Amino acid sequence: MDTKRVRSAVDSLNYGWHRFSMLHFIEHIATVRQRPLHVNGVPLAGFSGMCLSTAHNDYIFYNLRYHAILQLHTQLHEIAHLMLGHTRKLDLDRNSDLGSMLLHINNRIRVAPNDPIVKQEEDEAEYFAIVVQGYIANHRRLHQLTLSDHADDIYMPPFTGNSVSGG
Amino acid sequence: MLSPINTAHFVLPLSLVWWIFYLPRLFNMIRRTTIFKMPTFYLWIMAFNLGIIFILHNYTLEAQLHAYFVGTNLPVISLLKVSLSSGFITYGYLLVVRRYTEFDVPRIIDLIMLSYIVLMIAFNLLAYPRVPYVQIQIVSNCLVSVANLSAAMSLIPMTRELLQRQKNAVREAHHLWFLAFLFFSSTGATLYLIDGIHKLLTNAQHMDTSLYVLAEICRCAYMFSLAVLIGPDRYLYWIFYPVRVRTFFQLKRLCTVVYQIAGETIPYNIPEPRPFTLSSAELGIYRMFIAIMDALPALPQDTELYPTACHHCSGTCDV
Repeated sequence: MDTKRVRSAVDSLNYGWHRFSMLHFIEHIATVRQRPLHVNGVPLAGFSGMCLSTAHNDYIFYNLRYHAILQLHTQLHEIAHLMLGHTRKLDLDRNSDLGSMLLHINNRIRVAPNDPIVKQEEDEAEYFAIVVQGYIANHRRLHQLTLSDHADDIYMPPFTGNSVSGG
Repeated sequence: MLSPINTAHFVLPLSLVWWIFYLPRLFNMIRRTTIFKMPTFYLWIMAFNLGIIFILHNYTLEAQLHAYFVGTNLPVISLLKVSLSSGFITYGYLLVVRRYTEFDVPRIIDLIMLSYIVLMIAFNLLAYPRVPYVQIQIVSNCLVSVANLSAAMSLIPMTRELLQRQKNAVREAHHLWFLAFLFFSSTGATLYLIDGIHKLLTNAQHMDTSLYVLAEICRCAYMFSLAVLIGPDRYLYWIFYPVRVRTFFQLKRLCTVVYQIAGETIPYNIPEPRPFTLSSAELGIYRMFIAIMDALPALPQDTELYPTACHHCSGTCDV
């Protein structure tokens, strides 16, 4: 796995991590890729998520049946696949059936564990997710991924009189 | 027991660091229009004054400063020390009390009176030329310590009660640091008091005893706690570091067990974060959670671990 390539891919996003929220990050990715990115939760069975890049659009599907924290992680992982160019573009016309697309992806996933190239891509995508999560944690925005309470409210600590924000 | 450490050697640099750190902050606050709004202004002035009090409480440094006022009829430095300390103790804590509780008249009167008595007794020390300055130093330090101890003791139970009610991380961090501040403050004051009484009884000439060095170290610790309280947020959270590291290693063990029972191997061959810093410890906990969640579908449902894991992933057992 080429960790330098993955790191430079994350750095090339030029994202303001201190403002991180999943929605904001997805919007940023769409801007960087200059194409719409559709992120949809579907009640899948058997795997956590998948991504798809067509001629004009990017799609990410994640499993709605999984834990909410895992759903967010899956979205990051799939964004990593998009950003690292792991998707093969599908030449689908407008009338293509989503079912056939899902079948296509499902087949790909099914062969994944035995395919060393796909295994490497999975490692790279997960490493991309870790690097992103590292930046998020360093900017104290991890609560956006863990869905925990955070002090974004105004608080007057004993000695300062300043408001304390989570950023 | 005498100590080989000269406390003046670390008290003076630390108080200078305190000022250097806070002077720009104080000026920044003054630029704002809200600076004169109480209690912000008073608290910042008090925090700044603490740098002076820090020096004046040190016997060696105080004696050196007093040397400039030997010709006067007043123990100027001692009076300055007692006044600043009493002001800090009384009004500093008073504002915190008012912030956290209902207006508690008896407690406020108690604090004001205590401070007033300390001040009066200090003025009684105008017998200065007749009493050696060393004794004035010790007595005034003891009096201030009593006032300090009293104020800290009244605030510790309240802060603990507040801590139990807090669910918000930043508030919890603030209260933990504040509790640390009070703990070191009261421990330091107790040590000062015992050391002072011992010095008076034994008519000690050497100031840097082991007990006194310990008291000074406690004072450094409470200054540090206060610096974290006043400083930017990111320092606050470090109080959670030991807990986070413990959680991380607990989750790591759980993760290993889950993967063993599930008969799976960790799917990714990538470097995972190590808990060297607070943020990496938090990230590590998050990563462990994700890894456990990943293995959950493969976990046999008849194992004891399955319902526990499902319980912790409340509402989303459909994995």
